[in-house]
Amino acid sequence: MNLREKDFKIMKKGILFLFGIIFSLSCFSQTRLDSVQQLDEVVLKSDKFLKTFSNTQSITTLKDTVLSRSAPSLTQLLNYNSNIYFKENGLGMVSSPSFRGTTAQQTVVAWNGININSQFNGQTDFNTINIRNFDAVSVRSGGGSVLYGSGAIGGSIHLNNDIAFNEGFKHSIYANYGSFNTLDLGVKSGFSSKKISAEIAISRSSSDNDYDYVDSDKTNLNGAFYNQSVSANFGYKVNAKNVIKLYSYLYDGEREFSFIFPSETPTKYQDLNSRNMLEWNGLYGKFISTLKLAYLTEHYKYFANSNSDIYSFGEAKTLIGKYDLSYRVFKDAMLQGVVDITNTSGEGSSIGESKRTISSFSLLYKQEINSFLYEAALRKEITSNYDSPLLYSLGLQYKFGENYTVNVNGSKNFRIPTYNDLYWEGSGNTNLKPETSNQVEMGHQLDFKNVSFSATGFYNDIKDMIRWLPAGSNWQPVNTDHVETYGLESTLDLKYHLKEHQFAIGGTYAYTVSKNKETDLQLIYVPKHKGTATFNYQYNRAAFYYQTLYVGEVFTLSDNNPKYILDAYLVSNIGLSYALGKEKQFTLGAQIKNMYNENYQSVANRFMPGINYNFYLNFNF
Amino acid sequence: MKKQFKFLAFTLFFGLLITSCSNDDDNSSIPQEPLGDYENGILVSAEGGPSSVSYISNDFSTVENNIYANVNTEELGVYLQSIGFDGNQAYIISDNVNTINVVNRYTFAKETAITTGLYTPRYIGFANGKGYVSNWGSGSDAIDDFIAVIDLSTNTVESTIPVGEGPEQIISNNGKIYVSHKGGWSFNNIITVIDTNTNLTTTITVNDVPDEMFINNSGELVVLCEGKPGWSGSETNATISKIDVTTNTVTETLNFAAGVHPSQMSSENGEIYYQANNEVFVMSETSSSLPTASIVNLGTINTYGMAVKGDKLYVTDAKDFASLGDLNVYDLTTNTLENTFTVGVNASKIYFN
Repeated sequence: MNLREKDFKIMKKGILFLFGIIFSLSCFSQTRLDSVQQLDEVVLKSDKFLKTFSNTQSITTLKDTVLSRSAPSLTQLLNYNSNIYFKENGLGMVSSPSFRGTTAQQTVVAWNGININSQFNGQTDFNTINIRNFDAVSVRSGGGSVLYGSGAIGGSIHLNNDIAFNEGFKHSIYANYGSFNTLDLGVKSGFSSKKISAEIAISRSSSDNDYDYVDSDKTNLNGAFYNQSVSANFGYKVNAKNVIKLYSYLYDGEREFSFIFPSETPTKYQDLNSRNMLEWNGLYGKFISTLKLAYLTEHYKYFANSNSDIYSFGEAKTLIGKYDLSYRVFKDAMLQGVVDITNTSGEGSSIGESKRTISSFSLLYKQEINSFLYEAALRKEITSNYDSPLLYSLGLQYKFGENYTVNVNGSKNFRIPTYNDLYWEGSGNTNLKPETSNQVEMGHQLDFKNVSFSATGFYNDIKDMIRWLPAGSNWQPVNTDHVETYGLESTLDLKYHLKEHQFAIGGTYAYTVSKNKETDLQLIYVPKHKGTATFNYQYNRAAFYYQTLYVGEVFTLSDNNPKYILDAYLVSNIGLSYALGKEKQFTLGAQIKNMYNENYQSVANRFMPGINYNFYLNFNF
Repeated sequence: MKKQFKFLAFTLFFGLLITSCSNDDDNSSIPQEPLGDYENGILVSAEGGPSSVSYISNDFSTVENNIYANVNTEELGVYLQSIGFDGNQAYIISDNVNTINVVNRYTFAKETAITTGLYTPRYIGFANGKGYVSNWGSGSDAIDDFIAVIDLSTNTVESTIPVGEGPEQIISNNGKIYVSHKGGWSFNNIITVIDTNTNLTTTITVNDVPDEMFINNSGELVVLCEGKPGWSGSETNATISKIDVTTNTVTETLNFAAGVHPSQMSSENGEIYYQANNEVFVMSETSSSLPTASIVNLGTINTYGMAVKGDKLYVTDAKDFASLGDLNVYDLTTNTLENTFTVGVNASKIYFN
């Protein structure tokens, strides 16, 4: 028996053991229930780690009006409301994030707690996520591989649906129409009783996207897109101890890829992704048990010529089983164990059918002692595909009174080789190691009644970065670069109200150095400076808001040649809204985007639109 | 502004020249008018992105990058595959944007652009007042490859000739056009011969992955077949093949050792130069065996283009494929590196203007 088989056997035993525990607990547990509050706070959230094991890292949650005032793509939402930098091939086109100076594959997107980065390229295209289907979008800064697996190096983005009970009927309609024939629709309908919760949401976004470039006679050609999503979420409280939930999501989108020159061959890309997850939560005294079973599919088609039926494709199916059990050791201490198995089967035009199974074990512990809190976690994956390092995270928090909190966190994280890296016909390299990152950060948080401010300094050392390099006439992925990123992230929020006048100011600023250790040069497409600011004024039923985004210059060549940079840009939007109806259930709004008609590009020669307009209606009933 | 300055500088320079001539009592030779800023030099095209063309004067004293953009204040599209020269014109081929920009080869001023009738154009050859352009068509379609025939007086595609997959380099000889089929996104092993009077084609089967070609002093067509690489799963040997152009048959094949896949070939003064594994070899074109020892070791660069002219060897280094590349110039009398110039991103072709 070799080592791997041995590991596998041990793992199997471990799983059986844990399953044993859950069944015995659910059948024989006579312990009195913990408070109902615990049920609501911990169990009804789909992504519990955000609450339970992310105390020493910064999390920003965006919801309600921030979502309804944003364009539907995840790119636009986060570009204006977070420290993350986006590289967008023109509006609505391929969009990749750089979080804390890392690559697009080093940011995780999690759907209700499940990592949904593509099996093929290891990243999520942020323009293929429509935010209207989610109740909240959270941004978690810094390493999180112990909790969210491969890719959580720069940080992670969490798309969450809350399962609510006891709220009766709840419906909402959102409709937005704007320049370039851009339509954005979202309909949500839900019902919940004491025992049952059901919600269905449908969204659609489409645009001709044929904007004129600023200061030019050129137009964005072949840039049209549409996408539609359906999500359905159900919850059922079996009894006071057991809750069953089902999350479903289907996304279908098509995008043309815009031209730089009108003589280009038109190309387009289609995505069809589905995500389903069944979850069973049990509260058994000091134990909370969660069993998740998820099935994800991703399918893309790329048409190298839109006028032809010939396409290339990739298709992957992922089955995930995850069990986690937490135990309240003391009143303020929690121990948690997680086992998960991920089985993926994928194939494509250039990838023969390939399967991989990854199992992982995690152990987490958290304790609060007066003003002091610490959390520690370990995770080890077992797979035959690559050597997986032991991942860990250790966080410390100290509260200096009511207003000032200091967090320190250190972790080891990784990004595993993707299907393309491993299995691409003729190029795939099965000897690749995962990229690994060791990082530390220190955060300061100040909270007062009307003001909160946070600043986090971070340092991240990333080894064995995978890059495709020529090997003879062929290109192959190899573990090559060693990158160091460090910098500062900060946020500021101010609130003030005088009778019926409410003012709010929010801002973020990030300073990021991301350099190749060998050349000592900044990575391409990582700005040293990025900032956002919003100003919001509300008087009774009327609201006025102003939003601005600053992105510093970026290098486009790896030698940092000063002739090949993209200039810094400042883009600002304003909006007005007015609430009607007895319960203020109707909101009418209008927005002017890029109001100063800034001529900017986030990728060389991919010009973004100038001034443009949209109108929206939001109706809650 | 830059253009105006250039014009001014040019006029001044020209004026000086004329003045100096008029003071010259010796009227035995009238100095030739300079044809443009980019005469008497080396042009290096870079695939990009961004795509660009660099100029280096023959005496190495003047170096200018981005000459097309400097003169025409517009960018070339990606990826600049090759440049063809005919008369006073240069035809700059950008494959992804299905475009050939036609410029004056000495001033680089744009005359026109051919933007219709091309689909992933690669190389151009000339015969009978026509241009013949190899086109890969769609990457996912193996049977849509063609040669576009360009009427050089109107710079439009007048007809197309369907050919096998992946037509690559093109040369012209005695009213015939020879196209090597490297295979595009796949592999191929044929040479297409086009009779330019009838546009009828015949094919010659050679070894796998034929790419660079030239006509030697005996009038034979010499082809470098790179062979299928190891990663293809069915590796084949590379060869240098000679073809009798009257019978269209392969008359001689020089086999490379297994696993060696040369990727550039150049001919000069009856010698064949080729590059394999970053070493440059030379052999007489009449030799019946391949050389065993190289003349130049290029070191650890990413060799992307090669040419030989006179006693100089020119090699481009694409570096990390994401930054400006180098042109390395070797003196072939001593086989040593003589000069290095910074050129464009993924610089791949070297031409002599």
